Amino acid sequence: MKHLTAAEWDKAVGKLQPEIQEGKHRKAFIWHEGKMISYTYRSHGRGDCCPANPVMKQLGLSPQEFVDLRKCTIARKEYIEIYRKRQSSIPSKG
Amino acid sequence: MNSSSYRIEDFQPVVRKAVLKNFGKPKPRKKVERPSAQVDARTVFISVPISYPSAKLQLGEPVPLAAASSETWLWDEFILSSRSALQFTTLSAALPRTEYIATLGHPLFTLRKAIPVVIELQEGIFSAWSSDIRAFGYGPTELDAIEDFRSAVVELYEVLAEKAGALGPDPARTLLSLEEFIEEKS
Repeated sequence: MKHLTAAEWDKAVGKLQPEIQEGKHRKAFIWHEGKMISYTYRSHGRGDCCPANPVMKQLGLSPQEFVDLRKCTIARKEYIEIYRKRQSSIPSKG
Repeated sequence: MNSSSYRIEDFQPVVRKAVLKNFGKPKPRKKVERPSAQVDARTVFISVPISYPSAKLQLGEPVPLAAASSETWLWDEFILSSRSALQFTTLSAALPRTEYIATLGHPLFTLRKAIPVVIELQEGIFSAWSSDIRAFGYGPTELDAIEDFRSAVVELYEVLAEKAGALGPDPARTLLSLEEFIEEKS
């Protein structure tokens, strides 16, 4: 999967309306109903490219969903829907 | 050697001995070409083919990362940084492969046990990914990726620990995993 440029990362992840925290990394925390449901980050000063696969895994997206996020056809509303479906498909313990 | 990288400050006698044993006395230093744009500006790769153990140590052409990647398992690499600190890297296996991060290099946190990470190289960028703690680091060299991974893990741990009461299922699992690996220095 092609790398994300810093600008692409900002644009795609920004669609999810995350809480952004700066540090050595630009961290994005996605909140829903008072809970942090996922996170991802990119480095500062590591060149302009961020590997896409780990970002996709951190956000819990399938390759196709991640492509859609990059194309900005997935925004926060769709992402929350994906998150809900994924959670409901995980059998609860006990 | 199994482990992937060493700093000469840590292993200087070992490196010096290995260099002298395998390659004889180093020749007088030649002028090193400036690295190409594809290579991290801070590093130059000096490659020695291990299939020719009698070869003398000499400065080779800087190897663009993309070219080096296809032959990582054939070459030992000597990396000379601009700070004149020689970093010695043995790439003993093809990528991707699993490495173990044993230290965080942080004043406040340390590791209870090593974190397994998968090192990959794609389009000239090295990445280090841990599925256990859903964290990664990346950079133009393997060492950069590991260094980035270490700092990312600490930042992630600090935030998740601070928000422990408000984590959804996935971040909560990540925090539990992080706590298996990380502890505060006493």
